[in-house]
Amino acid sequence: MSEQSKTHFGYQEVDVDDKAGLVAGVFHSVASRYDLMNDLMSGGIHRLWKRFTIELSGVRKGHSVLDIAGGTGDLAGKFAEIVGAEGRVVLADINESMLNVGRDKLLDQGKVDPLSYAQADAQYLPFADNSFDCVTIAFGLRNVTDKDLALRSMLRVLKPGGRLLVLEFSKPTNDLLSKAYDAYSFNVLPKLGQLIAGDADSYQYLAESIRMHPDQETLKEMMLEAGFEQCEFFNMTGGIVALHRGLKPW
Amino acid sequence: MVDLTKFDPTLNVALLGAAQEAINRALQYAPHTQAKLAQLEGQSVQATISEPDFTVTILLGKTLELRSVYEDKVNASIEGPLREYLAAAAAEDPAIGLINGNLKIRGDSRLMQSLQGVLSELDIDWEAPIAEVLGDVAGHQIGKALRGLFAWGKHSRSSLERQLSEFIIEEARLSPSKLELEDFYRDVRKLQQNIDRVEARVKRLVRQRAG
Repeated sequence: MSEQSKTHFGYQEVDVDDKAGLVAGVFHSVASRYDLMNDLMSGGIHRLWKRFTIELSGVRKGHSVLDIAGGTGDLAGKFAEIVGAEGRVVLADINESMLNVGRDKLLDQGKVDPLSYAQADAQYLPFADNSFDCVTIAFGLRNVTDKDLALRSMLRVLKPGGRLLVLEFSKPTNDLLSKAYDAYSFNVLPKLGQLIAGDADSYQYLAESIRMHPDQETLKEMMLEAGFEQCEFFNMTGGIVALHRGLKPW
Repeated sequence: MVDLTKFDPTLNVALLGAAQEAINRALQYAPHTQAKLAQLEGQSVQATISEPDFTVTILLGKTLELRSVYEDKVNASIEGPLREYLAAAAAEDPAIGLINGNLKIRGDSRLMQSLQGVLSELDIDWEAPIAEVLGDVAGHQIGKALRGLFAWGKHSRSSLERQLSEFIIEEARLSPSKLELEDFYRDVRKLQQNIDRVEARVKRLVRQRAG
């Protein structure tokens, strides 16, 4: 097997063709308790990170938004309120279980009108060129097998001048925080996973996949290489999470 | 404008999120204010505080949205150090304090006037949230007691202020009265004018002597 056909699955090296299936296994397993676990894992701070993402999205009434790896619909639900009935929000996720949980949650909240759902792979987005004013992917990019391919696919579906926002775990900027965060991720997190979702392995994978994800500068470079411009990132909570933003050139 | 490159938004977003939640919950019990705010839907006001630096943009509507970052154009903006905001908030009528204080206000003045009106008419119906929990009878009784308490508080505050000021000025003579102060300022002004005149006269005499 050549080196190009290998990729990371957490700290393990796996065949490229196998990664999507392994990631799918993780999310099928955690889907039903995903919201609860996110709250527990981040102490509820993930809501603040998402709130800031919405502030920087610049989404307005009537806009068209694609939320990739939208999972349980936190961002899509808020975008639906902002764009109103004349806008369009597509919640996309590669994972059927996550998409079902997200759709049920949004329907239960009475959010119907501008929302539609698509089971889609971020690398091969099934949408026409220049379709969206804004594309977001929150805590999803690190699970994608070929991130460059996914970034180019997102660029294609964005309208010229449209924004891509990537919210993802990143590298803490402070050494002490980094050590505390490591200790938490590898000792506490899998135990929490075992306790709440009955699945320590999946949460072990989440912690490992975060460490294998490109750091702030690398991801910014990847976005520039994919063809985005005015790329910038904003560290949040000491760099535990970073929000990257790039514009599709006119 | 916030320097986004140096700004860790977590705390700001948390504070604003909590404030937004609290304000919108309170607005549910002030239907008159909520209706007025609904008329301002789509408009935005940005408040920038210097020392310490903090910016909030308020998107108006039936419910308010507080944003730590807002990159579009706003309809009106207010700017000044924190102490000026506190002074405005402590004023008897916060809305008038806001307009007449030392805060810089830019943009649509009609919007600011409308907001001033909304703020000054703010009247939260404390009975409704209590009735939701304890039922109408208890809610009404407790609401009545609370309204009495607030009115008493307001009355005692103004009465206390009056009595305290009388004590300081008349009894303890710690501070001069308004009339005495005005006399003093008049004397100071007169003295200043006399000094100016003497200065002019001296200059004239010096010039005459030199000539």
